[in-house]
Amino acid sequence: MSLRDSKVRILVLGVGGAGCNALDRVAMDGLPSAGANEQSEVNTPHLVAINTDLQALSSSLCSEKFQLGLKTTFGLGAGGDPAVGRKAAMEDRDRLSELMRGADMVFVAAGLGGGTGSGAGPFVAQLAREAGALTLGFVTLPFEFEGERRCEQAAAAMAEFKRAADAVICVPNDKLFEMSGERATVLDVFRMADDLLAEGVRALWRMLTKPGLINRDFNDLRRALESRHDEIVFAFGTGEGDDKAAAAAAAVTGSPLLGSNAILAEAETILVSLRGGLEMTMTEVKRAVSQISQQCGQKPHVLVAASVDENFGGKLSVLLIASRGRSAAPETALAGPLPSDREVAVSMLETMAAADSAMVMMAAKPGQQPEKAAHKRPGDATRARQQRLALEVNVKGRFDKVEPTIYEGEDLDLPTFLRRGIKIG
Amino acid sequence: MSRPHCIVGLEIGTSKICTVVGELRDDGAVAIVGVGVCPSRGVRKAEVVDLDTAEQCVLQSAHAAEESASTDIRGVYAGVSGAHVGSLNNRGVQPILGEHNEVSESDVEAVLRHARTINIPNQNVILHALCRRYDVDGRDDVENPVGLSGSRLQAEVHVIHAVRSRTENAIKCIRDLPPLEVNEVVFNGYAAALAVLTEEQKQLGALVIDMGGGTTDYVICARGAIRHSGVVAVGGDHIANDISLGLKIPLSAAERLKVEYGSVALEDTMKSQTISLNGEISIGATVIFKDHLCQIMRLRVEETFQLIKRELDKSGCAQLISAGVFLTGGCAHVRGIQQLAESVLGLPVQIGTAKTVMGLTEALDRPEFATPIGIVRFGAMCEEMERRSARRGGRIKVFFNNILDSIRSRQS
Repeated sequence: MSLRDSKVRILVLGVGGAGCNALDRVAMDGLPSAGANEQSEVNTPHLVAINTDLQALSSSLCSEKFQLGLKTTFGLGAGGDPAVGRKAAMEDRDRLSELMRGADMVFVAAGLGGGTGSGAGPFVAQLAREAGALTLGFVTLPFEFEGERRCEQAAAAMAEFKRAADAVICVPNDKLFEMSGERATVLDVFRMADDLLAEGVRALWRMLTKPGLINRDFNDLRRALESRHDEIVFAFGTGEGDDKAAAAAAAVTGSPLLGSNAILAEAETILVSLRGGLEMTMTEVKRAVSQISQQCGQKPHVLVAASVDENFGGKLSVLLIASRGRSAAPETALAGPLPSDREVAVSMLETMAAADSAMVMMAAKPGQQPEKAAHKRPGDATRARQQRLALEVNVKGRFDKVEPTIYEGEDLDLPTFLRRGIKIG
Repeated sequence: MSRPHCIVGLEIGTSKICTVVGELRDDGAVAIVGVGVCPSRGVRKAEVVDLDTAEQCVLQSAHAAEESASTDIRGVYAGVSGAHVGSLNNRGVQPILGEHNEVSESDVEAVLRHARTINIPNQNVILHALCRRYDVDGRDDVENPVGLSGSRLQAEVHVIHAVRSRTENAIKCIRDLPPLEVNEVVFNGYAAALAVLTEEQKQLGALVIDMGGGTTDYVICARGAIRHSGVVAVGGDHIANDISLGLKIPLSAAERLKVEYGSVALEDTMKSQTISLNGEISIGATVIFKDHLCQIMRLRVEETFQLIKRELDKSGCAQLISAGVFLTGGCAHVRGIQQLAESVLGLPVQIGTAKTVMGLTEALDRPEFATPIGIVRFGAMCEEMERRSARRGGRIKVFFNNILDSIRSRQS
């Protein structure tokens, strides 16, 4: 099954304020149409703005709009309460299911932390998956300064999202802040979040529709992402000039969205999608891909796609999607009912002990583990305790508090054997 | 007590602060007459992080050198390094308009000035702008263009730049201790190359890797000039840190294991070898497997060479290194490092020692003294140039002094 096949139907849903804003971006800049010989109407994805707030919805640029939970909110917003958002979505369950019917792939874009995105978003994703579509969540997490409550709500919603969707691409707004620099206005940063979501949707879209040097079809993507129930990361970069492949790859691996590349070190599957002009060479493709996969510790499964865009001459852009191995988080904890505090704590400690004894405490684990726990049980006493516990694990030794040595996105202060995932002894 | 023509090099390193006193003979040769070393504190990755502590060490090192050379130290040449040091190549062009279309000295000055005009961040300063070669009307191998005829003069320079504030920290560390004064600053990697490479080796092409405690500085020389240089902020401290984390032992023990038992060569016999640390960490013996120790070390050192290999490939000079690789700095003592470097870089590797100066052989033969000795050589070059320009009637100093001038003007 290929996207250039009329059977594939793609839905891009924006849920809540932030989700709809991102969707507006996609709608505004348009999605690149598929190959010239294809019928474009078949390939155009449906963009649907879903919101509880009628006023916000009416200002949306999307042609298709979906008013959620009229009886619950009376056309007002969810007031930052996920419970209200969820109730609104449940009210319209049948209409939503109708919307999803026949979809092969559904993107659900949402900003987490508020009411509609956090409450209705996961529910929408769940319905999409029940309808048999490959469901990708595309979410932003609130800034830390937006307050603990929003962060907790976002963390809870994130856990739900992971459970509901096949995979979730998550962009913490704080990382955007890092990328944007000090001068950026609040609006700039929010716009950047919207842009990122839009660009992510667009890049995946391009990969599936544009004819390329190396084609990746829907099934490849499905295999890479289906039923992961985990967070995947994505990053992209663009390079120009003689060495554009290397520059683009360096921009990707150096992207703050990847953290300190610890995620790459643990990646199980990576998908590298390149987009270049007609002059793109196989050598460039190889160069970029090998530069990225070099950073991966565990010899991941690499999927490469390369598409040619005649309007993209002289440049090369690389999109990277990485999904982690599932070893760390016990999946039952995510799929089944929430475990008790003790269970979470025990599984946490076991994971840490296991990592410890093997001496492969991956750099990200101390940071990640509590994050996962946090997603599972927000606002829980266990969380605070575990966060502190994990922070005590110092993986940089004497370089813990000095300026890190970053070389092409890699933190060289971390021991080499850790970064390469090599077991000592 | 004072010697006639003393040149003092001071390197504020991550593991040691080293002062070397050299004497400039009338024939232009440099002889090393005194060395003072003090273990370094308050320095991380070749940059001062604790001014007071580092100053104490500078003072001790300078005193030791004064004693060793039996002279007083005033002005010193200071070496700088750190992750903030970067480099690029640039080109300047100057049309030759004068009488008979002859290149004059002022043309050379102008072309160098153009070549120095580069686009670096505002907070950066140029440490060195080293002329690689001149080009007169397409003849690109001109060494000294003054007097040649032509219509267009070009100069290619290699510019080494650094972040101003971070360079100032090293200078401050010395200036705060009167009567010490900084004459000039020099990039450590460049200094190491000056100490180690003979003129012939520079022509043949060589790569100098100065692997110290906090950073690894490298300089690529080809056809007699520096083509590429840079800093990877990884050094011996990282090796010890990796050992400490990997074997779960304190840093001090890791440092000791590295020096006493460490190696980057993996041999089968190591599998059965153990090292026991008696009562150092816990009650009773802690047993360390030697192959674990060596594997951790090897991975780190190998990676560092791989990074440098990448830089070498990027510079496009990989084919021009006929004289091979010279390893200097404390890490050159690591067992098996020569073989490892050879296998990663694919070039012949030797331990670099200061060949270009005379004097105290116990200092000259040790790779960790290459940089401070090179700083002395750099100082000798500066003074030689000053003398020459003074003879010509006090022409301006084109190459040097620019960072110090800028700092002085800011202070006054």
